[in-house]
Amino acid sequence: MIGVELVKLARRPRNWVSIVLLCALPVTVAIFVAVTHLAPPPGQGPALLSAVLSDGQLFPAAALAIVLPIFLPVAVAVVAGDSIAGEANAGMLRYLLARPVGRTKLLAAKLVALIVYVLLAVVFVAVTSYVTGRLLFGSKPAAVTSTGITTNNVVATSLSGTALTPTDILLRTAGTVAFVTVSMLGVGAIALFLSTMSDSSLGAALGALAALITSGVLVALNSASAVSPYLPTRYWLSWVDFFRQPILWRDIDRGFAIQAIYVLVFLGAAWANFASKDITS
Amino acid sequence: MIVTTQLTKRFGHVLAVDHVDLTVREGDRYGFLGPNGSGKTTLVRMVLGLVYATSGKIEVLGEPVPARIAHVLPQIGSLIESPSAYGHLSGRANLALIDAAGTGPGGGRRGRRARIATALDRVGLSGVDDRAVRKYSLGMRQRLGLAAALLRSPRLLVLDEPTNGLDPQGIREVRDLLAEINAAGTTVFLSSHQLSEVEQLCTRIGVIDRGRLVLQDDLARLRGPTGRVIVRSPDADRAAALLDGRVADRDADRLVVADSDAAGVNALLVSAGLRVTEVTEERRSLEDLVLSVTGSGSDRIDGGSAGRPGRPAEVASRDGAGT
Amino acid sequence: MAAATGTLRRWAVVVAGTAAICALPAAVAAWPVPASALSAAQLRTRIELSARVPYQGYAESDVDLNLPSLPDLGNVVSLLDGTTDQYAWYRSPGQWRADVLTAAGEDDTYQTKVGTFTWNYTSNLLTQILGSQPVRLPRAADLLPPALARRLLSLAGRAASFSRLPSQRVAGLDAAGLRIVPTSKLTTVGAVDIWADPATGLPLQVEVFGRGAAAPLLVARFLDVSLTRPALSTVTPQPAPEVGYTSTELPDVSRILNQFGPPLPDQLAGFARVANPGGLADVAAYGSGLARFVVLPLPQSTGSAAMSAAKSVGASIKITGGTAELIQASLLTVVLVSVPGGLVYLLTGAVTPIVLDHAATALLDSY
Repeated sequence: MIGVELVKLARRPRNWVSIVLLCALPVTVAIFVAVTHLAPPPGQGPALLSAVLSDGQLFPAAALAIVLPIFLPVAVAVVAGDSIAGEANAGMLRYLLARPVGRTKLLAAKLVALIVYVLLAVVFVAVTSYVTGRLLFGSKPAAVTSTGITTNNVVATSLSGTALTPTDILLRTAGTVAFVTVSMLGVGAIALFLSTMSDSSLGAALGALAALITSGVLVALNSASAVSPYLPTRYWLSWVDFFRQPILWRDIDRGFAIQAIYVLVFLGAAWANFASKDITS
Repeated sequence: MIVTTQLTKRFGHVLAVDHVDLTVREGDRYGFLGPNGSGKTTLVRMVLGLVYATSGKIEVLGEPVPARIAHVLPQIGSLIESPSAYGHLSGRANLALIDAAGTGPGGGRRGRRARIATALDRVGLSGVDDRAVRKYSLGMRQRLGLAAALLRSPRLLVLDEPTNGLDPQGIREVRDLLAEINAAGTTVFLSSHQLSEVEQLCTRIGVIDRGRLVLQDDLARLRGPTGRVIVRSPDADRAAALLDGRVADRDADRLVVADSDAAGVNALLVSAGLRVTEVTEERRSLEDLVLSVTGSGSDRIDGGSAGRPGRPAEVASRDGAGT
Repeated sequence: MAAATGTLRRWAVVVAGTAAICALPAAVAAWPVPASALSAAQLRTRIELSARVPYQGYAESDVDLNLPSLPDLGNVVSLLDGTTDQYAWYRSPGQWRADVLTAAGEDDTYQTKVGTFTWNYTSNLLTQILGSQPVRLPRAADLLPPALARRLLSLAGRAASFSRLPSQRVAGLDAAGLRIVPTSKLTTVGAVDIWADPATGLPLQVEVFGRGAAAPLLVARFLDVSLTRPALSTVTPQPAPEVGYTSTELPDVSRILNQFGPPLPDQLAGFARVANPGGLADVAAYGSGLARFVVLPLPQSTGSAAMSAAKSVGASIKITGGTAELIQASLLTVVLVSVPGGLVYLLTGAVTPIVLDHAATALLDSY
């Protein structure tokens, strides 16, 4: 069933359009920054964007920071919200279940397809922005430095002021890709759950986004600090800890854990609701 | 093949299926009749494990449903309400996805192409190209839906309005196809509100009205002789005089004679020198049958039996959930 | 029927699982903490001797002093009013590093054998601070629980009563509690609570209460801590080639303060002057225990700017021979006083307003 879901995912033009749009946003930002040479000052605007003027290899991480807050979660909510409700709308849900596809199995396959979608989207953003970064901002050539570091493959500066080699950047960007992907799964699980509640894909996607916006507001609210460690968006920006030296794992670990909990809880709720639901669509 | 015992389904306050005892035997061509909103579709969905019964038992292919549904469904092909497909994919791609989905024997990658080709051929779509299903006509979609139901050579076919959207030629093709499949050993359960379709194909019918099964019997028996004979004669007046006391009804030159022996009546009239245009045993039409049971079976106060009375609003509102 | 009970059973499983996950932090918190047999004096000694205990961890300080913003003190005000998150690596008193973490950058302080370095991501600048820092403004690393606890303990000296608090869990460690209640009535500090690892004495959490207050005005605690010794490379600045580098003689206070004005007296309103920090004659601390205040002259421009800022937020107090402004924050009291010649003195400490009122009067009298 997973294979079937992946084929459906791949053969759906809408999914590719959304990924292309996701890739286009950072490219647009890159063009503006490259043309004007006006990056936001360090510590402001999307994280690391200030650093890309000096080195294009950091742009994949900056690009992820650009799509992470709104664009990516919207795409994920739409795809996840469509997973069951979309089948119901197309009239295919009854045929799939009568095939028979086990209901729990269908949910699991939908979740796997969703993970693959997010991973595809994030990897595509990273790859296109890497190419864009190299083309528009270039990469620092080998240098002997004033502080005596003579490594000829030092290319970028971490948040802690230390040097990052291309291997460092590659590994840390890979970590960011994994973290951003996992960060989206909480929203995805909420949308998937709502998708089993309603026959409207749009309703499910909007519900998940509403949950997300609520979470975002509460995270920013001081008086809600007691609950903020449990909110799905609390650790979203912690990917930036990959670019500190040493890597600060605390929030990254928590980010992974909180998403795992959200996936577990909402997938469980989706299962409880869907496994014995009357399919009347 | 399908046995339900006191099967009941309630959607909130609405009783969609009310203590139904349905029996479909192996090899039947079962026609399941009922107007829209009568609980037909809900019952079909319960048989397929899509909707869960409020109370009662279902047994399909000898296995309890929904407990053993995963074991039962692979042997069933179904067309539920209307055919569905992913509009942006071609018919073949849709069949490939359906074929790959799900558990049970006969869904492997090996032979998939051949299975799809056979199914398309059987429903008359063998020459279909790669255009997207959303560009198909209603008839083509109907045929594609049938092809999906036939993919795994099921032991039981559960079809809801399979000829919907087809032209007369297509309807005949489908009817012949179903008869052929049935002859090869597949039980066909056909739910419909089109009496003629059922009358021409089925060997056994069940009639559901407002959730209750009001009639279930072999069509041949139901349509057996009524014990009366219909006589047409240009000499109707004299015939009526001759058959005095046995004429139950008369309409111009058409007499209904309360006598089960058509040959005897004929001989009597001919020996009296009367001209006879036609002598036949009277048989009930399926339409009369259905209308009579759905009429008399109701608990309506006005009790009208001629024609179909209007349906109560509450029952009609089930359409949303049930059809 | 079967479907309905199935649904109920499934939901029950999900709800129970969710409840279990949600209850987990509460259950861990409620798990009894073994009591420590140390006496208050033993625990105090261990804390005082804990400067050599290496650690690394994530600390959060939450300070609510309600200080008004004064010019040239912006950094300090944000430190003393708000939440500061930092990660510290501590090998020894002379080798450590503390990073103040922000959403898109960091401000780091390195202490090495060579000296102190600061790294600021926003300005992409590594700064070496040359020479010793006899006097400096508070920095984030001062709010790390071990540093803060030891400083408060040394300030309190023996002029306080010490008692044990029940143990509690801090950052996963069972910490023994010590309460310090100053004996002097002149300080605004009601109590200082310190929780420390009983084995090593490493302070893990510090809470400072105002007099009679139920909620602490300052909480500094570890959220994560490990008593492993960090690598030397971690606490040594290793700037990338892109990084700018500069060095500065004396930061902070020295930048604000020039050496001028007459030397400060040894006694001020009956308070004895304590150890003269770094031999700077113009900066002095008076008092004893936590009832302690500093007096420092502000340069002309800073002084008048501070004075006018204080006028808008503080209360003027009458002092013979001059004008003074008093700012009463929740823990700190600040008095700015103009002396003849246009100089402005800043008096501040965790003392009651009457102390600084008297001190300001005495300061004017000494002219």
